Amino acid sequence: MNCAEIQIHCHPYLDQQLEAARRQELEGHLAQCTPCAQAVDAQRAFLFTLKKLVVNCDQQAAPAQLHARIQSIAAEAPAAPQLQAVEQTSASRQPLRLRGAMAMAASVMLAFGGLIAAQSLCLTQACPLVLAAAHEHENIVAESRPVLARGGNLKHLTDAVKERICGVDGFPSLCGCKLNPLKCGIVKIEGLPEGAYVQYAECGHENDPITLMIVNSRAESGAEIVKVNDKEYRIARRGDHTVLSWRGEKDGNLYILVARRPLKESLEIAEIASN
Amino acid sequence: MEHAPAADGISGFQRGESGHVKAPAKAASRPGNSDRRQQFEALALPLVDRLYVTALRLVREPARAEDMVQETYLRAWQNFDRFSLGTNFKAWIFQILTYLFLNERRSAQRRTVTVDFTEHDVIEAPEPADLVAEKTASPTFAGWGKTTDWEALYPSLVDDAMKRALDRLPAEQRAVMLLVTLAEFSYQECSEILSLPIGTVMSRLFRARQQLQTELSDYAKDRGILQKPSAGTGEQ
Repeated sequence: MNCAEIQIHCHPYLDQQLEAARRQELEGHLAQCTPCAQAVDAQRAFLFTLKKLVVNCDQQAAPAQLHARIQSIAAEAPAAPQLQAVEQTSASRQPLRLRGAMAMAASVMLAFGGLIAAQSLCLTQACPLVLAAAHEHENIVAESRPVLARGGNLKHLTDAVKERICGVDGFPSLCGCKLNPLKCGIVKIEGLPEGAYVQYAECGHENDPITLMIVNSRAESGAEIVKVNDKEYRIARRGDHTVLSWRGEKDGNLYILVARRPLKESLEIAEIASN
Repeated sequence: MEHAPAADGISGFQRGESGHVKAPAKAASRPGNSDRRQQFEALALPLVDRLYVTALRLVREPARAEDMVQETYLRAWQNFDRFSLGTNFKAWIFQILTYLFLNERRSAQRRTVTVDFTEHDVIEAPEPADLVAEKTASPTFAGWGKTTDWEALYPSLVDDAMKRALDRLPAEQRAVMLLVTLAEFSYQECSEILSLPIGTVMSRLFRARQQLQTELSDYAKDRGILQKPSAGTGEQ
């Protein structure tokens, strides 16, 4: 490690975030280079003081009334909603534990009022991200609101997609699975009608990515159509993707939810739902 | 029913896993409402002070900080079903807080222009330009080699100077700096909380600290606490 690299690794080293091999390399250099050793010591002193400044520059505890308000939240606010199927019409409103990309497909399938026993879908180890996406789908269906109607530039739009799907609007997404928030933007994808451009965001497990896309196009893609409460939903298989789509009532946008990965279960569901 | 240890109090911010509130891995698979509330309270209530002091340094106004923390708890409770017991609750709830803060900032900045996407050319999925810049830029250490007696300056800086320096930090940098320095998250945890590549977390943290170092030292110089030309400085 040379002097320039010491500058790069200095703060990770002082934050104890450097992996062991690099740490040893860095310490080996410091043992032989007095200027670097002094510079790192100076940074250590700064970071130590900075921490004290940050901690002590303002109040260090929440006011008593805030504690009281917080304590009343869980007691008084409506209980956290158990995951339920979209517009489930059957009498049984059992909470569902869905897994992976199946969450979306299964919820839509139930929305179609199928007679498939809910128990067959009761799986464990749900990924909160995917569940959040499934809920997002429910909300969009329920409210038919535009997910993306505003934005000044591409960055704002991609941020907006990220926010909607990755948690800003009330769907916290930390679940240990890898997000790839940079994978969102405006693209044209195969299988969509000519002229249809797509905003998309991808999240979920590496093996179970789920994608919400919003298409600003009047054209429809060919798919099986099912109706729930006079509202049309489409479910289709596009290569390795299972595609659910619907038309926003108010904004006219085409909403497409895609489960990538050839999930046997979701394909079966698609087939059942399309029959 | 097991609960997370309430020992994760406010006193002493401790780094690493020991500082995190962990839910019991052996949680009931489908707890009743009362059990869920108890689980939530055991995990969430010990973090009120930590969330508040972070929120206060993010927004700088006590009333707004209180509202933000309350909203954080409300959303956490309403979405508690989506939290996987046994994973990092502290990171999860700080993620909500951070998103509320950053979202508020972005909403204020966002213009309300309707965009017709049919007018766009085909564009490959881009990375936001500023993130690309941040990822590719190598940090330049402006103050490298300078030695300053920060301990001696501390009493002069602890109040107004530090608050003002915090105010001047861009929101994204402030969030990263506070998550690492005050809430004591690792870089990896910050990366997950903010949904950012770890390189971006590191570069934002680096820039935040550089700016704070410059501002604090300028403050001290302007008031004659720190001598302008030398004061023991020595470039490498």
